Amino acid sequence: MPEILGAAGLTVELGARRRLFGTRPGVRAVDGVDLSVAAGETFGIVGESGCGKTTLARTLLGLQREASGEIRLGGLVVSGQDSATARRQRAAVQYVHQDPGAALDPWWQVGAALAEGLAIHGVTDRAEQRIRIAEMLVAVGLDPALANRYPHELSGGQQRRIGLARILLLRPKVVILDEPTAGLDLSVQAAVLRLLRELRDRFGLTYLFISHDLSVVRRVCDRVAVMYLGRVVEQGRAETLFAAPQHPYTRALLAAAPRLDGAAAGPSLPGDPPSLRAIPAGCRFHPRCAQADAGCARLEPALVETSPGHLTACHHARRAA
Amino acid sequence: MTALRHLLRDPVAALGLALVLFAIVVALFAPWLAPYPEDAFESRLLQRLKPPSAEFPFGTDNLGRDILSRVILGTRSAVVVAVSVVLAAMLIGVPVGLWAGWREGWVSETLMRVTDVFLAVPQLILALALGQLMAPGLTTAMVALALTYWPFFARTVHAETRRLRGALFVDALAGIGASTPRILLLHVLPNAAPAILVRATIGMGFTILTAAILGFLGVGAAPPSPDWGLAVAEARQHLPEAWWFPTFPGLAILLLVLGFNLLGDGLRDVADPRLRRGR
Repeated sequence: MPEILGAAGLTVELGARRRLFGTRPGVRAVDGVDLSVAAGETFGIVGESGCGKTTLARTLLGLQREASGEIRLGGLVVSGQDSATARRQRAAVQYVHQDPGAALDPWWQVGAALAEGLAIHGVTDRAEQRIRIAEMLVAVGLDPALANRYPHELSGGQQRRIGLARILLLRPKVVILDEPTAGLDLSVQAAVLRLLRELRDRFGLTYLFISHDLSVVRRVCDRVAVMYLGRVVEQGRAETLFAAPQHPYTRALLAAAPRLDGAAAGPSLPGDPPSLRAIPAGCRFHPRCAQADAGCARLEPALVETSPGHLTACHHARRAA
Repeated sequence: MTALRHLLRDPVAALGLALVLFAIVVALFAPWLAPYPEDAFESRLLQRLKPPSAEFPFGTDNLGRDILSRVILGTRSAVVVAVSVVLAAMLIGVPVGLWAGWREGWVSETLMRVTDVFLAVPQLILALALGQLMAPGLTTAMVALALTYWPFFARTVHAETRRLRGALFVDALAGIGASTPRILLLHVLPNAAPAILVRATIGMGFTILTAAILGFLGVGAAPPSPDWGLAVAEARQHLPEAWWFPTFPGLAILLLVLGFNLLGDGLRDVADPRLRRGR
């Protein structure tokens, strides 16, 4: 499959400020990320909170401006613009928020919020708006009568479906799903995941699936990238990555995940992730890594292919594999 | 409608609403309600300073005019002053607050520091100074009050805009490509509306009080117009004998200001979109 969304050497700085004298440096929330998402696949991005997943998504979307690196969309380079231009050019990429209830204006009825998206994208005819909204509400499995409700009158699952309907009305090609199952109970979660798969097939979507719920990622993603402190440390097909993780961080994440079969969770990672303001020299993960040696503290490992289609950034990956 | 019901469930707020509505009705129909509407400008020196009686329930003033009629006629100017001052102050303060709250940078900073300076100087003193600079009169007093009240709106709207700028739904709107004017006018402003409404209601009471003080000090309405503050000022020379002369205009000020304040407090409690349609 051809690439639809890609990034090369993407770096994002947050909080950098121009001051009266000089500039105050920001933190690098995303630091040299290479990605290539093929059309039609579901690409997962996992990692602890604060590892730069959401920042990466916002940058790909164009809400956050990159410091350097390039973003490709459908074969064209679309990076290097201010956010208004970037959003216009990247209308084919849309983003579903983590908390879809809070992503809706509490004063607007759901139908009005959906119509607004259409109006912004040039569909101003009321009758056409109404028809398309009703169609889309059915497509996401909701009663079209819900259009007259206010966001706080909907359940969590309904809000999530509305969030999806809102961006699908804009006919995107790539949808970035930020924690699409967070805060839902398991049965609703399963229904939402099923719906996502249906919608992908029906509208020919590509998903960028951001989550820290590894069991969900394993179930729905074709390929997965693991992020740690703004970098991709391992990337590969979901089944191989989950079956035979090569990076010690991925192994630790998998071991720390709670299991349904009742087996005790493995030892969790020692310590918290370091602050982005004080990124360790050498391998970013070495202070928390069981396998770290003197070399890890000196030299930052590159993301290299350790087996076909599988990239790992670890000095020990080949030996461990 | 739910908001109204919530408001009425609070007896204090309901009292405020009743006082304000009563004042508005009186203001609207003042010429028909007043027993002697011509007493706004005519004087009858033969019946000056009569104590309250069946003929003149509130007594008469130093020019023999019926105080009840003048209190009723004065309601109209009090309400008109309050509404127009608050509207004018909103017209300045709301855009300033929106702009300064939305954008970062030195323009916003400057706007807010100017606002802070206005807030730091007591409103009455600023209004007095402005009133002295221009020709004294009701218009001057209104301009002065509007020019001194807008910073309160700027502050309120600034804070609301700052809060909403970080809200997820604003981010989501930017995500689907909404323009800044659309976000500000259709989303931020309606979400800030409850706070603005509360501020406006309390501002009305405050404006009536300040306008009365300006009238008392001779910077506001000029005689012979039926102004409450002016009446209290004129009554000073006839105290303590003519106790009814300042009492009734003063009571009118007290009740209307109290009404607006109670209503404002009540509105603050119900100003929450989640209560609009409880089921």
